Amino acid sequence: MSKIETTHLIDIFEEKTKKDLIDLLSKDIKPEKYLDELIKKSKSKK
Amino acid sequence: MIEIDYTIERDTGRTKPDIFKPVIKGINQSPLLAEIAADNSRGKSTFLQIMAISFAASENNLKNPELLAKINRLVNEDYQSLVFDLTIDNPNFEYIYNISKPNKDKKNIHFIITDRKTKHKEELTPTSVKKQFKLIYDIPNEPLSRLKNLVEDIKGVQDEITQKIPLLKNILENNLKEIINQPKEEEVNALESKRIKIEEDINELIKRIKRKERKYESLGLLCEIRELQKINSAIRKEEKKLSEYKKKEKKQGQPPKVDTGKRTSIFLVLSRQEDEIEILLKEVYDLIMSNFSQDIDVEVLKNKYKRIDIDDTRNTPTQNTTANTFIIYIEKELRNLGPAVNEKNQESVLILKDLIHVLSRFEDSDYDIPGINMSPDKLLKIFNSKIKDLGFSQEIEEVKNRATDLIREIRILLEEHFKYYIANKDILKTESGSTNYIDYRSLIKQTQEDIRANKKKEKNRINSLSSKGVPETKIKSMLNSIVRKFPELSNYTNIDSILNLYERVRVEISSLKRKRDNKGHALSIVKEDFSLMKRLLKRKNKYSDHRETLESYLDSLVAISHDFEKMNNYLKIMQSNGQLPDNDLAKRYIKTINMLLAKKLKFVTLEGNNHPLKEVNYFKGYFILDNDKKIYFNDLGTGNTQSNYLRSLLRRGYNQPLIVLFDETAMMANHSLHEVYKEMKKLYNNGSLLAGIVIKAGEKDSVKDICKIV
Repeated sequence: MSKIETTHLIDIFEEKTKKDLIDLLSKDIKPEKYLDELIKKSKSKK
Repeated sequence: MIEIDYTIERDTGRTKPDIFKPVIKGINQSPLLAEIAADNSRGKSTFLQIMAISFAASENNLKNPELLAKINRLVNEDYQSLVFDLTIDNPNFEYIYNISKPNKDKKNIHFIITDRKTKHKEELTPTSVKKQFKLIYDIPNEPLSRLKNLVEDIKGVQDEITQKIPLLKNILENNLKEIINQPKEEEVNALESKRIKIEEDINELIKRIKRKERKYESLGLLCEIRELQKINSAIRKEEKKLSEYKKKEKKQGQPPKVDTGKRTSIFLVLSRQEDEIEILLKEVYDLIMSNFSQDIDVEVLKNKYKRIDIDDTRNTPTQNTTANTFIIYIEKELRNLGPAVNEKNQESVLILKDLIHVLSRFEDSDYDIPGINMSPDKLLKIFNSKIKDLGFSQEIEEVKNRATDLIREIRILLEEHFKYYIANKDILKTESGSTNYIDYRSLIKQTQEDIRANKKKEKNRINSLSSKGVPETKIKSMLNSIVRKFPELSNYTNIDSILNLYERVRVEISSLKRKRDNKGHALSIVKEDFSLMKRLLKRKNKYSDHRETLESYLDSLVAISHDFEKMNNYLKIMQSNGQLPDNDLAKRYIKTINMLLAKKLKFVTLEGNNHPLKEVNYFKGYFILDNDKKIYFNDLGTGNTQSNYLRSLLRRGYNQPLIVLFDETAMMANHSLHEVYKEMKKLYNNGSLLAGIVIKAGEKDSVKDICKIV
């Protein structure tokens, strides 16, 4: 998925959880790793 | 002819993946130079992408990054898989080309060439394919068309995210469900305590049942032993009487010359009445001695009993008899004992007894009585304890009642006896009036019959006890053993009292067994729950400690799902120049899309020159160039520039066979496009072009032969 489109879509939202989710869904991540990634993201301050 | 068949499987989070196959009519077998038109999402571009993949499209032979990204998405994304089979049979060429990707899980593509004459087959490597063919795959670089493609790209990204949302939502919900339903350690411990408590209750009930059963068995034996004792006592008495009769008969000598038949029968009745009175007097004496020896003067009672002269009952009015003196004394003593419960508490005892009577019907129910939240069984225990505290004893009550009944019975018998004697007094006199002759022969005979009957009863009773494991020699030791095990039974000499208690114990045993069964049922349920909870506890969800985080993400995901639905709708409105809603999300979205388009488009080509782009306003339909010149979409040309560009591409003179693929040419006017078609036809006719596909947007599906268009 194109990084530039994803970045712009992420910027539409203000909440960190929503940004995390769009970032996760835009990446080529195996579904079984979804929750691990989310937990990792929830710990980052970004 | 170009023959194509493909299958794309796309995982959308549902049970079955979405399947995509060629749907445009005529696309399976299309002309070598084809113009394909169809509405969006009909698979036009997919066809071009498969053609490009077949001819080893890569960053080396494909300069357009957007097209390259699309191709990569088709073969490299985990959530979708592709298989295809493509054959190109161009009579101008020596070989027939078959390119296939047969395995959806592997990326290998087989490129087979078959010699038209010899039918010899050979497989080409991707490097050979790249060297031997020239792939021209492009999108007309006309600003509006390109802009449209960019918007489609955004839509594609949004769609991909949207498609993954249900899968992630499902994963989040399932894990949260598992976490929420997962039992806590304390809950499992509480259930285990409950299980242990029920098991203890059951064991306690089993112990009580066993003890009650032993008592029940003992009461059965006790009843028989007491019956036997009663028979023995009667036999001894009759034997004594028989001996007396024999002595008296001998002393009396010959009978007088009188009719003694009637007199003897009267005498027999009187004797029987006296026997009955004596038996009852003995019973009431034993009852009082057994139960109240601690409360009364035993010596006085013994003396009163000894002084009873049964002979005075015949000719003395009842109230003056020694037997009456004895029972008056007993009545006085019973009154002195007073009620077990004082006057003040008697009403409480009555109320409690009534309540116990009512509640005992619901003793086995687990239903908690509203208002006090207590089971009937628990409440019964409290009432029974209270009634005991007030001094009430069921057994003492029964003894007193029995004594009163016996006294009443004795009085009636005394009255009857006295009246009978007075009525027959004269008949008992001899003719001379001085001698009472008694027919002892008949009395002896009658007494001997009574003894025989009682001995028969005694034998039956001994046999019965023996059949129950108590031989005659062990009866006494059995009685001692019963009293030792159940001291409270030592006072039970009266058969009726024993039978009453026997029945009560039987009812108690069945009640306890019902309770035990109910507890057993409850235990099996608790055990099942316990083992299930324990299993669940062992399989702790790995995200249990992140429940709040996951819940927060789930909430946001639901919100995003709605937002993306709205954003897809905004995109449709933008593409159709409709009216966008005036809300924050729509405003943020438009701003983002315009920024994104400007960044990606970078410049606008006008009259052959590229002009750097400062801003795009897709919704209002204009560009702002870096020199601040505003150019409205409507003022742009219809594709002449692009037509020239494409034709220049085709005229470059390539050494290898050409594969020409042009996507999204809808913005080019027909006359511009036909110029390109002419160039392609020329290349086809001179054997330079192996295959050429041009894609146009259109509401209806159509596959046309370009050679027939121009």
